[in-house]
Order: sequence, then structure tokens, then C-alpha cells
Amino acid sequence: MGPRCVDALNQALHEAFEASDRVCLIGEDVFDPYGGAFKVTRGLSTKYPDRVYSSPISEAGITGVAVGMALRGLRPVVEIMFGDFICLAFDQIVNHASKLRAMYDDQVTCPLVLRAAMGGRRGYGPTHSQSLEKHLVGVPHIAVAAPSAVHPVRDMLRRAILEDDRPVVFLENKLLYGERLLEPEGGRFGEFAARTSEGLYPTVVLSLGGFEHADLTIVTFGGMVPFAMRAAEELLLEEEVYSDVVVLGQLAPPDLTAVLPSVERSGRCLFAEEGTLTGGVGAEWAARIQEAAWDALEAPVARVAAADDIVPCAKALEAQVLPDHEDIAAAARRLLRQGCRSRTP
Amino acid sequence: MKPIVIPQEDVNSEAARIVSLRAARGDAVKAGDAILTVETSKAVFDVPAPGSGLFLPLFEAGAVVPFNVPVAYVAESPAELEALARQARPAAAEGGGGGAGQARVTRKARQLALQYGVPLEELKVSGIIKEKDVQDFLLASGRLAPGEDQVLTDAGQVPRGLERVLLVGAGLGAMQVMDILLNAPHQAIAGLVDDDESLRGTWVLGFPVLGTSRDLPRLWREAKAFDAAVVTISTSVPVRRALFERCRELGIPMANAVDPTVRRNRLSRLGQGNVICSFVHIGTCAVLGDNNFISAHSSIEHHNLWGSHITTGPGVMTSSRVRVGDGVKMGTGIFIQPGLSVGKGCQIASGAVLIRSVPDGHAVKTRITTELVKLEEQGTKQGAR
Repeated sequence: MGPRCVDALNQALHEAFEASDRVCLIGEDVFDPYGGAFKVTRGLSTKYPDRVYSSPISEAGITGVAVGMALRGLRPVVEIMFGDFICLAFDQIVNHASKLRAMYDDQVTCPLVLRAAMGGRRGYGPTHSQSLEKHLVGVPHIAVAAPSAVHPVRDMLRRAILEDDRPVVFLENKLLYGERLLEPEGGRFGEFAARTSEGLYPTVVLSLGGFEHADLTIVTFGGMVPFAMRAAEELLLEEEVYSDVVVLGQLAPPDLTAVLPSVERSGRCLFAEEGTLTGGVGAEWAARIQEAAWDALEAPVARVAAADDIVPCAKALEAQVLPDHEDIAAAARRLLRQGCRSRTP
Repeated sequence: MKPIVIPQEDVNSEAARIVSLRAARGDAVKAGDAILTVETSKAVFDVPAPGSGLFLPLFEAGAVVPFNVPVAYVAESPAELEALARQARPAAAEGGGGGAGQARVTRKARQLALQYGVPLEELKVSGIIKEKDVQDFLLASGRLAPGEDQVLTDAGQVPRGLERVLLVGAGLGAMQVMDILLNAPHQAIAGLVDDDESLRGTWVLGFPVLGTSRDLPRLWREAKAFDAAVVTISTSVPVRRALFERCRELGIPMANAVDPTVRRNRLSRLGQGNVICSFVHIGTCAVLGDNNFISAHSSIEHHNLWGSHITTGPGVMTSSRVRVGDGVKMGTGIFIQPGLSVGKGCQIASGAVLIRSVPDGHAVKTRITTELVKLEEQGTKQGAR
């Protein structure tokens, strides 16, 4: 087992601060000893007191300041305490950060990393539990990244800060913070053979059939990854169905390179996300996968997502709204019965 | 004895790290003493002793402990402390749980291992044991012949209690029969055999062709890969009959494949190995023998008496009390008047309307004349106006 995710992120910040004195951080309650609501910024303000800014509660202000810093050559990191509050920074992201480089004909860049905690299952209620990725994946000229337990999380965040000249929205799942990251052993994560793509925000493909055989491709990211892996193992144990779990590290711009070989193996694809269904990340990816792999598909790409509803506080009600491994397995079973082309099972 | 449990001070955390212990094992503590300092993601706080007595910690400083388990006890006497220390095993602290655990086995692998009496612990497999692992073991130990592993794949798929039906013949008739069986709640398809050797190892509607009829003894007796068979061939009565008889010689029970849309009236009787396609009507007290193939929309009226190895095209309509002998082949769209009989081995052409009985071994030809007239193209007609 690897380090806890929160420690990996914390290390990445320390490494980035050490690597370049242009890196700085702004957010709410980020000073020691509190070190941020989820402790990701712990130790930074002690070590780099003049490069960490604990701000008043104003996400629009924080992000606006960071955009200005980035334009003037710094590499700021913004911490949005709860991803839900990204809505307050939306104007700065959509109308400013994403557009400035194109509007000024490449004479400026806006290399900022906006980190935000997404996801529910902690009983935080409707305005502290959402997964709002879908509102960001359609914004041109930004990168939307999402680490998971199978990603090299430390490298992802450090490289986002130091190497990516685009505005990057870096979406961390709340449940992931306390989890230990999985580390591959001999190219495997337990039962799954694994391949990790190149790039700043790699796609990790996990294959129960050793990349030789697959009955199903589950595409997912972030907090849904443990549920997808569990569903895949249950489908194997119960029905000897072999799944690939394709774990996206970059939600936008969409890159199908690592997805298509799996879909061509399996002929059946399911997209799982924690955000609400309608207009979701899965809608965009499903459309692209169908356009690119129509001939290989046995059935339409299926989607598993949260109900189009608020996330309730009560845990039992929250569990009804949010998708889990049982929803993925049920959708997979439906999908495996669909389709009438003459592929062998 | 009083257990010490870390209180949940915030909803952000589900576990706390023990920062320090202010007492050692056996130390006397007083109720209310701050004996533990713990840290969650939100705060550092002290945990007071719930009573006075002797302290028994279950974790060391640095351990991460969930909120719902005891982290220490306050014992009332040295004897109680010793007893508690013996029985108390620290509950799953982070990183400590698990162990090797039981081997995980897929349902199919478990079924196959049970079927062949394979001790799963003899399989040298790391991780989940899959059906293929058991097959490989059986092949390596010579208990399965090469090629037999394929049939087992699908035999294992059939839930317990369903009749696993082997289809004899893998042509167009087979696809019709598969459609019937896929809709039958009590039957499942075990696979197919066909005497075209080149079909071996191919798939029909997702089911494997396991070999030829020469493989039937092996598949039936050794592999036990199916519970019953049905002949799917409708075009040749002699071939249909020969395959049926071959199966019977081997002692294979023959399954009826009856589409759920078939209407069978009271007191009608059906032998075995019959294929009855969609929307067939079998009237009151009508009797059919074995191994017949009755195509869609045929109607076998009340008190008919049909033999065995009969094939019909779609839409064969008999009136009441008709008798049909063994091995009769009928075309499409035939009408037979009440009370007539059709002898053994007869062949009736499409469109025939029988108004008298046919003796054994006769063919009934039809003289329906049809004429082909090429339709004039519309443009020509308009041009001639």
C-alpha cells in the first residue's frame, strides 16, 4: 500500500514549492496549524510563509487574484475548500482564465491549478457533496484532471503545477483523501493487470482478462474507481465476466486513445460517475466512444450516475441518490444481455 | 471494567490517531483524568478516563483507530486486567487487518471443481481461481480430453435445475430451436453438434458447436455436458430420423422444444424430441408422436393422430380426426379435410388441399398454375396516353 492520498498531495505541494519559487498557494483556512479543511496544505505556510495566502471567504476573489498572479508569471495553486463553491469562481474560470491566452494571441499564459474537493458519502448535504465535473468539461482551453487511488497522485499534482501552462482544474475526491493509494506490483493492482498511459494526467487501464479478453469496459474516474473495481471483481466471481476498468486521469479535453482498444476487445462499454446523470461527463464520453467505436460496439454505451436530484444529508437517503458498486454491477448485467450482433460471448 | 472509546467530535473523520498515552499498562488512573490525546483531521483533543482503576492500553501511540472500537480499558483489579489483556485483541487498526484469508473462487470454477471432485487447494493459482484454472488442471491431469473444456464452459453457465438441451444440427432449424429454448423458462442451451466438421469450434447465436454426432457418446457419457437433446433439422426426414434414433440408442432423453406462443388444448399429447414453432395450435385430444418438426402457424385440429418424424412447413391446417403416418413431409400452406389419413412416408406439396386420403408412400403433387406478368413501367403508360 502506498501513502495516504492526502499525504501524497501534501508532498506534491511541498515538492512544487521547493522546485520553483514562482509557485504559491491561496485558499481559505490554509494556514498552519489547521492546514486546510482536508489537511492538504499542512506545513506549507510554516515553511513558505510569504508564498501561502489564507484568504477571506470569496472564491471569486481567490480565483481572480490567482488569474492575475498567473498572468504575471507566477504559478499559483488555488484551494477551493469544497468543490461545490467552484460555482462562485465560475466567472473567473470561464470568462477569464480559460480565454486570456487565446484572446491575447498567445502573448500570455495562465498557468494556475485550481484544486477542489468533490463528492459525497459523508453526509455533508446538498451543497457540500456534489460532483460538478460536468460543468467544467465543456470549457475550452482548460484541463480537467481527476486523480484516483490507482494514479501516481503525487506526480500528477506536482507536474500540473510545474509543467502545465493551461489553467488546470484538479478535482480530488473527498473519500480518497484518507485512503491509502494503491501501488502497482509487477504491473498489477491485485487481480487487475494494469497499464498507465503517458501524459500529465494518465489513463490507467485495469484488466481482469490480462488485456487479452474482456466482456465489458467500465470507464470511470475519481471516487467511483473503488466501486468500479469492486463491481468488476463481483462480476468475475459471480458470472465469470471479465471487465476492463478504464480509469481516466483527464476528463477534458477527452482523449480516447487508451479507451478504444478496450472497447474494441469487449464490445460493451459502461461509463460510471458520481455526478448527476443528465448532461454528465458520461454523456460526452459516451457520444465520443460511440462515434469512434461504433463498429465494435454490441450495444449503446450505458451510463451509471447519481439521480438527477440533490444529495441528501441522511446517509441512507444519500446512498439512494449516489451510485455505488451495486448500481454498476446491475447496469453491467443489463448491458451484457443487450445486443444482437454475432460476437461470441 | 470500563472500555475507552474515542468520541466522534466531528463528521469529517471516521478514525483518530493516538498522539500520546499519559499512562502505562497497570497504572492507576482516576475518572476524568486525561489519559489519551488523539488527533482527527479537524482537531486534537484529550480523552478522559471513564472510571477509576488500572489502565490497559490496546494500541500504542501513533496508531490510527476507528471511533467504534475500544482503544483501552480501565480494569477494577489486577486479575481483571490480566483477563482483559488475554482476551482483548486489538480490533482492526489501520494496516493490521486481513491476513491471507480464504481463496476466492468464481462460481463457475467452484461448480466445475465440485463436478470433478477437484480439491481447490491443489490449484497453484494466485488470486481469484477461475473456471479456466480448473479446466487447465483437469487437462493437465488427463481427466479431460483436449477440446472437452469448451463444452464445460457452457455447461457451467446453466443454473442448477434447468434442463440443459443439446441441439443436434447447427443450421437454420437450429437457430429457430434456439429462439424457442431461449424463451423457455425451464430449459437452457448446452451447445450444438453438427456433422459438418468445419463448424466445430464455431458459434451459433453465441453458443458453441462442440463437435459432430460422432462426439455424442463422449459428450453424453463422459463430459455429462447436457441433460437432453433435440434434433433441429427440418429439411430432411431421413436425416432427422437417423439422428433421433442415434440419440435414443445412446440412451439420451429427447427434449420437446415448444415455443411459449403454442396453444395446446386439453388432453392433447406430445411424445418427445418434438419442435413446435410459434403460434402452432394443437387441438383437444390431438396426439403427436416423437421427433416431429411443426412449423409456425400450423393448426393440428382436435382428435388428430400424428405419428413420428413428421416435418411441416408453416401454415399446415388439418381439420378434425386427421391421421398422419410416420415420416411424412409436408410443404407450406396445406389444408386437409376432416377424417382423412395420410400414409407413412408421404410427401405433400405446398398449397395442396386434400379431399381424400393418401395411402403409404405416395406423393401429392399440386397443379396450381401461376403466371408471371412483367408490369409495365409507369412512364411508358403515361407516354402512351
